[in-house]
Amino acid sequence: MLRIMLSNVMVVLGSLVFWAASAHAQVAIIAHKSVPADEIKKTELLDFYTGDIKKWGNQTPVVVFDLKSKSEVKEVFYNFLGRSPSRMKSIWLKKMLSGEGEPPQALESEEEMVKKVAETAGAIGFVSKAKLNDEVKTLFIIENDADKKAKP
Amino acid sequence: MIHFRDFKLATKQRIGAGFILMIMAAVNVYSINRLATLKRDIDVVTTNRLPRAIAISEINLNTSELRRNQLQFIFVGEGAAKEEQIQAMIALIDSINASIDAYQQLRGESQGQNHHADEEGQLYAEFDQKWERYLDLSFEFLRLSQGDDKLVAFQLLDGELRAVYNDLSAVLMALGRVNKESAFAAAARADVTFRRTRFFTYSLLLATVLFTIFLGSWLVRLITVPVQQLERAASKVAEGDLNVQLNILSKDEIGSLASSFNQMTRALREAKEKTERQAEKLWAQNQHLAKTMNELKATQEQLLMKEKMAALGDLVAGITHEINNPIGAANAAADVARRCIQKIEKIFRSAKSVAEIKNSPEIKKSLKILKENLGVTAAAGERVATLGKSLRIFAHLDEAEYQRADIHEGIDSTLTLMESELRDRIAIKKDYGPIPPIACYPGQLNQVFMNLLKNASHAIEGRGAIAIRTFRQNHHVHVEISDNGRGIPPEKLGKIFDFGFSADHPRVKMTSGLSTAYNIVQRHNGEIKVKSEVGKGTTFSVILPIKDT
Repeated sequence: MLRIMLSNVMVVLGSLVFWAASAHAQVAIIAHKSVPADEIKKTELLDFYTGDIKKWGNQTPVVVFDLKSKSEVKEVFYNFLGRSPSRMKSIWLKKMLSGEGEPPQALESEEEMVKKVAETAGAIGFVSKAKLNDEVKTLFIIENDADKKAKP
Repeated sequence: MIHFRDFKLATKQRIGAGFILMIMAAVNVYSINRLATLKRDIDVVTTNRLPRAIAISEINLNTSELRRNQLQFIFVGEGAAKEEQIQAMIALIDSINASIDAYQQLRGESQGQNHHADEEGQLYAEFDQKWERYLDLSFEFLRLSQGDDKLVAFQLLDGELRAVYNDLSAVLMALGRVNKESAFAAAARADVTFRRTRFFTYSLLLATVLFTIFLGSWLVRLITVPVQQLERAASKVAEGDLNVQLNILSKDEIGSLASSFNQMTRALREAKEKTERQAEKLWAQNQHLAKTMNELKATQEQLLMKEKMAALGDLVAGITHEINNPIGAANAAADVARRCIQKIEKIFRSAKSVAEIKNSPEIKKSLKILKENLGVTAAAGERVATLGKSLRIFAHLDEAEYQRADIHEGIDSTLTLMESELRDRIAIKKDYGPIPPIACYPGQLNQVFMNLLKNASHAIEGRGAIAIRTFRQNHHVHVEISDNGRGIPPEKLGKIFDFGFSADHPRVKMTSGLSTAYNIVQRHNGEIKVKSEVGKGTTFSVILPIKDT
């Protein structure tokens, strides 16, 4: 009995440690330096990524980037958005079908993400905080907020 | 320590009923609880598993529709048809998303009671992955089909997209199967729950019924048995056995009834014993009283006898005196006559001639004296004869006891016998009226008159008078004897007929005269009354009926 309880506790503790490690990566919402905003709300971010809002306040077109492969950073970002990747893709497919836009370009790495955002006017993307540099503007840091984590 | 048997009957009944109610309530609560479980299991089937399976089959259907639309999309021309195709696909994607949302929500709701949670979670992750892949390929397909490479688009659709679709379909089928199995499992569980609940409920109900019967009969016994004991004991008491005592087994109403019964029986027994003791005591006292009465009666009779003897003594003394007088006179006369005769004989011897004897003055004188003395002697004899006659009349010695007698004759003879006592001191005044003879005991009535006359004579100090009056009134004869003596004080009037002692004399003397007179008059159905005034005198009235009834 005690052993079963102990093993249960171990399992719980282990999963907690794993979760903390996986979710500890702080993710930064980054944008091209020219965007007319210094911070961004979650709803705005969702509108940008779904394609509902296509332009910044200064009429610069919004260009969003995605990460191609599955990663901690991507998971944290999508959790923050509150949408699963497949759901976002279904939305993009609808936009494509109705001719309202294309799915965002999916990049291979975070380095490429930083580079692309720095190069592209009106660009917006996400990287781990560790990968930040001065060439991009940081609009928001996704804190490690366990409560808002919604598993797909 | 409180025992159940010490409770009141009502409390016992309440406890019994409460116990039964508790068991019934427990049965109900258990049944309701099990029904809730049953409902939950059924709810799992109806509100979760089935909708989930439906959502999955809808996803499956809509993805196949999407694929069909994609196939058609390649060949449809530009224009309204294409637009329609696009709208259909958008609608299908919305439907698929709605179904996925519904499925995810249902899965979240049934978290924790999911039998195939791990398997389903894996399958869903696989589905999500395939779906994402399908969407990725769809982007490419759309780009190709909107360009000029329709053939490439078709190849993609028929190649990789078909493979992904097949995988997706297989995963969805597996998910549907898992949910179906879960639904069956829940239904099977519900069935087991239902059977078990039914069994337990029936068992508990049966137990409750049995327990109720047991408790009921026990309660009835609890009342009936002591009541029967009480009844038997009461019949014994009714038959007179007061030594019955009940065992008190409880402190309820029956117990207190038994206790009261014991108390009552004890009290009854004690009362009976007390009564018996008192009766014995009373009997002893009565015996004692009877003995005392007998002694008293004997003493009284003795006293009466003595009184009678005393009266007789007085009478004898008086009569002796009365007889002595004439006898004395006769003796004296005889003495004188002897001396006269001696004188005459002397003259006879000394006389020389008859003439001398004839003319002798001595002889003449002596003869004269002789003659006189003969008269005295005759008178004396007559007197004694009169006395004898009076005595005979007074005592009526020679006659039948109860007879008609002349009252006056009796009074007169009494007076004659008392003459020596009265003669010199008291004047007798007679006022005899016309009265008939009455039926009586004459001797006893004479005693009444003698006692009353003696009483009157004693009341007179020195000289005085006694008046005797007789008269008839209706059917009664009245005899009044009045004296002018000292009288009787009013406070003593009530007691004068009592048998007792008198202090009227210098020495205390037993007086029975008046009480004897009273008793005799009573025996004659008559009355005796007294009127008196101190210093003036006393009148006794004897009233006797003429006809004896």
